[in-house]
Amino acid sequence: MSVPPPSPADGRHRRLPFAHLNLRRNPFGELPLEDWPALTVLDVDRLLATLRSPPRCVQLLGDKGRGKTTHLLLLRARLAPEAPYVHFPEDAPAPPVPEGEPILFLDETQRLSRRQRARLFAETLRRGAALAIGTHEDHRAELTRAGLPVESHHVGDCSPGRLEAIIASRIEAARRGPGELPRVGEAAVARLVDRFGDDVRGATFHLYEVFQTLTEIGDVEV
Amino acid sequence: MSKCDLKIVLDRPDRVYQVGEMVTGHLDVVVNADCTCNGLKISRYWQTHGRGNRASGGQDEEILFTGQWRPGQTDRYPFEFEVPAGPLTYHGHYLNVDWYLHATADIPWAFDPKTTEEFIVEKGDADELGDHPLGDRLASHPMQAMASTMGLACGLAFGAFFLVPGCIFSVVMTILSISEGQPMMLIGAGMGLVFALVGIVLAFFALRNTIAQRKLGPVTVTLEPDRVNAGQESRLHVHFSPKSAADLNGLTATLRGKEVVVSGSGTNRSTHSHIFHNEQYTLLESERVAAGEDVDRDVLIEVPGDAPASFAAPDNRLVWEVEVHVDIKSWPDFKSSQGVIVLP
Repeated sequence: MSVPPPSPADGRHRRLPFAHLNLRRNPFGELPLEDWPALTVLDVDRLLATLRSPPRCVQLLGDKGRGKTTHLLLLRARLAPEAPYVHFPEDAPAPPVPEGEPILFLDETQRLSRRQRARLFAETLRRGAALAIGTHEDHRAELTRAGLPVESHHVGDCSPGRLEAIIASRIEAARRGPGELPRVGEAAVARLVDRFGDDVRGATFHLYEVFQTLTEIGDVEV
Repeated sequence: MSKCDLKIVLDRPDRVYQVGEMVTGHLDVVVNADCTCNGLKISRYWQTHGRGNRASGGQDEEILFTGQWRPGQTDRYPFEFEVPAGPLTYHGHYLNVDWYLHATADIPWAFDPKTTEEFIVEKGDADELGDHPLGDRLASHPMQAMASTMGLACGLAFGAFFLVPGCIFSVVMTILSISEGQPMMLIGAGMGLVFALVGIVLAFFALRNTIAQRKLGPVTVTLEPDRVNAGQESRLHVHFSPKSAADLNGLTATLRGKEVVVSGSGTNRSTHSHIFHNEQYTLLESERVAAGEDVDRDVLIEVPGDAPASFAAPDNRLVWEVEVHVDIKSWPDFKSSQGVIVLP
């Protein structure tokens, strides 16, 4: 079997990317972290209020792909864009947590040891600082033991309305110029919710493939 | 509204440039309010987009103006950049590489206006073998040797990880089942066997080529040259001399082009591959080869004239490889991959 490669000869590389859809790129491709906050459609006012009255911790709890990092980055962008954001990787040593900061944004804290977390929570309380964490595991018991007031928020709401707003914001962010854009309507969003539930990442990955095949602006079938 | 608006205008309306040419144009500034500009900057760079994490490079920048602007003023600042030797513009399935011009004005105590436009970079006539800016980086990847050694070690390690505990668990559960008269424990023994079976399969794949070479003898695969321009040929040579008579279903070589990108980080990190070119060459049909008989086969592998160039950036790669497959009847097959660096 031979699949012809995309070639300059077919003109594909001589066109600006996704110009036929009035877009600059596939809206559902991977985004750099700094672009995330601008594309979120979350209401985080209550969580912001909590972080504004330290010492407190906001815990964002949820499974993979549900939006913990998006929430954290949005809180950081709204509250303290220069504050440290630390992601604890699975397959590498934990990076150091900056000391003396009035607010910290820490992602995947379930990868820290209990002892490391206990020290972190105690230090946050002692300095009267604020802490926002993203985690798969509920740390409420540990936070309570450390005496650090916590507000826990379960991440994972994927109502059709929210998903539709996420999709619309990502398409809009990839806009090339004035005029029409591809539309993912209510019925298509309902089908995505049926198929992917609250897995927003799964739904956007699917839309990536769909947008690769679109040839003209119009209603998008999923 | 920002204190000024920026617009990049390229002199060439189709925005298509060849390597070595100059990208020329101007940056229009429309001033809406009195302001000081600490730097009107335009930069040129490439960036990937698509399914993989973004990568970028080739940065060059120029300061076009610093000073005071008055409302109603409209200024035009010309710029020019040389188009580097690569990477070329590429629009694939998971991987896209585009070139950009990005302009920004540093306005103190106000929103910094900015604008971005793409341009397209095509192969130039001046391209010669070895001029590819990523050529050395691609060539310096000892991918094949490392992958095969690591593949063998990992396969054996994982195989042992499943096989040994699986066997022990199965034996212990069987003994307990008999001695305790508990037939339900045989389910545990069965699970142990499944575990062991997974280990056997992993070890088999790790040792497949070693087993195949017990029949074929050492298999030598060479590809000369392994750096070619699109449209050029590379000679593949395969040699082996079976230790015992071998029935072969065939000997094939497959030229494959694929995009390999990585998205996410940590537990969300995942690799996505897309094969965009898959072309098979038959070096030998079904045949019985006698013990000690030399099998020497040569084939010219032609890289298509419009083949996209090899590309390597963090989390984003476009790779070409030739896979040799010796299909041995009733015996594990021999498979080996050789990387080819395709220059524009």
